[in-house]
Amino acid sequence: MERSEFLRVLRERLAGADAGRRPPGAPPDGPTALPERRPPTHASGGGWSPGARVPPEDSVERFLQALVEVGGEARRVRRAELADAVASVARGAGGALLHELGDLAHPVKQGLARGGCAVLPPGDAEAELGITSAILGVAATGSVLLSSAQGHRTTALLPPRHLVLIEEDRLVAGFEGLCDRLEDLVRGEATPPSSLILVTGPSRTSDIEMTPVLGVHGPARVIVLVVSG
Amino acid sequence: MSTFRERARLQLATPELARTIGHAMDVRAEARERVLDGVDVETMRAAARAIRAHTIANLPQYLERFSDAAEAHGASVFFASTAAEAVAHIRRIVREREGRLVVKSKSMVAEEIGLNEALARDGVEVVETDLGEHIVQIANERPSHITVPAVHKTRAEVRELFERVYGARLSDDPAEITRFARDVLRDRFLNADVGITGVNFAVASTGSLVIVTNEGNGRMCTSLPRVHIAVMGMERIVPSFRELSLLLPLLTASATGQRMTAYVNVVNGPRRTGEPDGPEELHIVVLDNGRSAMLPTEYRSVLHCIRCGACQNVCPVFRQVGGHAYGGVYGGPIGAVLAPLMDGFESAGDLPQASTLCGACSDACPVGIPIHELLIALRRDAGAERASLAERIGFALWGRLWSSSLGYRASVRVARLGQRLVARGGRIRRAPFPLSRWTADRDLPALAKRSFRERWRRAGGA
Repeated sequence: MERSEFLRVLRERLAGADAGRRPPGAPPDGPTALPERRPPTHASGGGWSPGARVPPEDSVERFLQALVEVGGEARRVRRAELADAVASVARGAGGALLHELGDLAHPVKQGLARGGCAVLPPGDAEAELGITSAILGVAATGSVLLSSAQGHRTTALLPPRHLVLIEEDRLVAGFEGLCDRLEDLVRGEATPPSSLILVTGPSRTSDIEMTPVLGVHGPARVIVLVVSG
Repeated sequence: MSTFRERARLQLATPELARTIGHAMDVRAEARERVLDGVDVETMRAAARAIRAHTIANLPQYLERFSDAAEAHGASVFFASTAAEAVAHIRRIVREREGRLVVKSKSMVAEEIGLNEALARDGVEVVETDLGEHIVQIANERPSHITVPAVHKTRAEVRELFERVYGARLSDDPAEITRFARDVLRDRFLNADVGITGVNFAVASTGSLVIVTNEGNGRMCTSLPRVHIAVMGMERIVPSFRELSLLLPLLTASATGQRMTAYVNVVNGPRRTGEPDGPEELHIVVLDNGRSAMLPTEYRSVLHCIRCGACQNVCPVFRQVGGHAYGGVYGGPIGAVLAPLMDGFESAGDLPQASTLCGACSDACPVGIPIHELLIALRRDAGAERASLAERIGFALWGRLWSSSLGYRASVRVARLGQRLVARGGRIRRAPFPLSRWTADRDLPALAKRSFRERWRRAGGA
């Protein structure tokens, strides 16, 4: 059906609203205003200004804690320690996939070499480790945001282990900051990244008798290194 | 066409069912309370309700903005006013792309339009990839809960099912069954031509689709196949990401009791030049299918629903009979409102009766839909449409009789005499027709020996 016809039907039916037969408690039928303020939620930045890009020191702590609560692993490392941290994650993994890692690529490759883990061609379904870098992290929920502009989507998807690197100053306090950033990233851009994904801990299900199981289709292990300095 | 009463009786014949569902619903409800502990839920709910009411009242303008933005980012958007139109459009896409294997991520709308069956008739293999949906699919059943589709199955039943369908040897351990399903479905993901998903939110300002999953199957379906088709009810719109910062956490807390689900996919179009993977085409299908008919009515607020399933988790009726007793795609309290509005009173007019009107659903609804009040209004409308001549005359006479105090008192006296034959110990267990329809399922309390007015007079009241 033509869009114009589809929308004409909606407009006509909205105009025909019969406000007289509204049950008590139902919202008014006429145009209503969007709330001006966003109320705090469990995913808000707590006492901080929600949109803050550079949060106070303890937001790193909060991020680490939130991620551990959902079954992820998280650690803060200085840039100089990155190679060793990567090596310890990569040890025993049969091959790794890499995103564009910018100036973190060098220490990461060093770490993989130290851990005895080869770099595989992108999209290799046999890889056991995927390494990505996040463009944003949410302290309140322990979430990281990945962009399809950074490399293959499958890097964060197919291997059973997912290592995410995030620079400390990319953390925002809560979902308000995340959503404002998403709006900026997509709105008005002629070609925004085709896919952005927010990852909060390992892939999980509780579809069988509500028993939690990790690693359904995505990785069972999600390890985030918050890089400082 | 079976009635709710018949279907419920069938479900109640398996006592384990209520136990399994009740346990699952308790887990969900407790998790929800934990996550929302210390948060001002009422303020969240009021804001969410305002956002939803505003969006639905301005739906044409937001849908226009959404489809303009999505098309500017390379998606094609199709508006379908009926299920048949939507199905025909999707079949055409799959046929023209020579799709043979479709991987699907959970979509209630796809259930609503019977998409899987239609594609299967074309010889296309459709594989549900959410574990719960997959279980339901290979069992040839329908999902029995919005967010826990296989909630009615025990682990032993799931194991037997996998053994029968895939010839596997498994234990009852959910982790082992899940690992097996991962391997089966991994192969399907890697070989699929088309991915079909539902949509949790469609962002009007950017043309983005937001798809929420815990298992990662949504991400697989939107990344690996070369074509992505997204099906959405027209009411899935949010004005911008700003509103999403409230609605998304509210959805995950209400649906699964999680602070945030594991994967939130934001789809902004097909793969860009320069991007190494992702689908080459993105098709979005916006569906009316009876929704717009609710706009001018008192039932409009049912379009505010964000499909979290919180009303199902708390409903005392749903916990006993499960989703299948409702007979349609959407079960539980919200289903009892939606089904008669979408399918008509002829087939679903008895669903509003499947409620104790306790109001737990309305209390649980994160966007403040007054579900139990809508159920009452539907009972009224269903009565006007479905009642037989005998019922109409009966109720009219009853109304006439009780509108005078003389008639009321006289009828109570007659009933008090009559109940001597059937009342035992203050209860009536089996009454003659038409009251037998009440006493078939529960006792009727007997009338007191003396009415309040009589006792009042005897005690010397005025």
